[in-house]
Amino acid sequence: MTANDNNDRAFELYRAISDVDGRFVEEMLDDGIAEDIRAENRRRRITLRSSLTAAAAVFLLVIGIGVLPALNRGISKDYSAMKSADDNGIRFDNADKSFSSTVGPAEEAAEETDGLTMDEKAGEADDGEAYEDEMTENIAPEAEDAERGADKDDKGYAEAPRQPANCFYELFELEDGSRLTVLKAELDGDAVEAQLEDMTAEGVVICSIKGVSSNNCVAVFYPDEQLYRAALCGNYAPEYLTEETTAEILEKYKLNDLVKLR
Amino acid sequence: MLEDNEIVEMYFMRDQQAIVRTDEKYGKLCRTISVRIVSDSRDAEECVSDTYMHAWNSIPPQRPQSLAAFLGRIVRNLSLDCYRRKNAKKRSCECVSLDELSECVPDPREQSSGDPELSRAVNEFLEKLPREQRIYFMRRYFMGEPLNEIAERYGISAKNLGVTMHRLRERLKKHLVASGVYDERGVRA
Repeated sequence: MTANDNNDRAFELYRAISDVDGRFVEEMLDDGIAEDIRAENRRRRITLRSSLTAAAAVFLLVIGIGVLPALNRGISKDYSAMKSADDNGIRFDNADKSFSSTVGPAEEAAEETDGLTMDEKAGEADDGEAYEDEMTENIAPEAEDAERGADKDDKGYAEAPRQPANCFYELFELEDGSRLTVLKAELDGDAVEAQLEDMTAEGVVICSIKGVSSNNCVAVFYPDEQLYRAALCGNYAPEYLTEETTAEILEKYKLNDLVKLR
Repeated sequence: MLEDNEIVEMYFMRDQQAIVRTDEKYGKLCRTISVRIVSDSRDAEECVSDTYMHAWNSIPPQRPQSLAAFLGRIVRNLSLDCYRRKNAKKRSCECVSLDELSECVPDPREQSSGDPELSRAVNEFLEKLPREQRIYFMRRYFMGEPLNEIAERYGISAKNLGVTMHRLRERLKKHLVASGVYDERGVRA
């Protein structure tokens, strides 16, 4: 079959279309029908656009539901690392000042002042007026504490917390690949630490102070927005954590529960 | 503008105003069809004039139901003849004796294209189509309108229309084979 044959047949067909029924020609020329078709096409276009928009919205929603939790996990991890890095700076500052110190009463008082100054600065920088207020609240009991310093040990516990202090994380990579976060703080020149995994649901831990010979003080770590802050609740030795003293701590710090560590 | 039947009545009364009225109402349509086939306005004008002459000679005795379809058919056939004649001259293979002999056979232009089987198959095919697709087909292959003009007229994208036309051609091909006009190899049965 040649190209000419094809052309001839096409021509033949083209000519045959001349003989179509007259009503098809009338239909083609009818303006009313043309308007109907235009309206129908417009409606189809709108429906299609709506369907596409709805499908895109559902798609984004599904993607969002799938991806957001993963994103949040990523942010959480990164954020911990960031806090760790920031707080490491604080830790080194503190290490110079407190971890190596053997404190006498006069030096202790000086260190208390240091700690207050540092915390006030930190409060101004990070947490604003709210934290400053908290600091102010904590200063008054400290003054009382200083006055009662002589009978602390005799009494077994002090009624008021002594000193809020800087707090920081240390991250440890364990052999099995998991990470252990240890919360550390300097309280009254003493180093305290707790593992975050031991925290209660409220993020509150109570632990003994390491390196203090009497080992008779406890510390409370409590979450303050994104940063953890520590407060020394006084010399509540673990053996003194009776229902009464625990209730006292809970009431003082408006905490729900305390967990005794190690 | 007069109604079709009024114009036809004027033909029957041999009123020459019938041609004027026809031109008023369908002149544009006829010229559009013709110029799209012959691609030359002077040739198209000649075809339209011939169309009116054929209409004058055919009415009476014919009484077309649709003057548009009737005129469209004539102008289309005349334009196709013109197109073929011009192309044949370019190829220099047109035989003068063929033209002479063609005068011996009845003039089919206002009757039919001379292939009733093919015409019937095309009519059947159009009958089965949805109205919208039938109109697209007619606009494209009866009127010879370009795709973008049809698309704009009916508020559809040219791309969509192109796809629709491709499917219509495929359907027509299958229909022509199924109705026995052509065999599987495309040879006229």
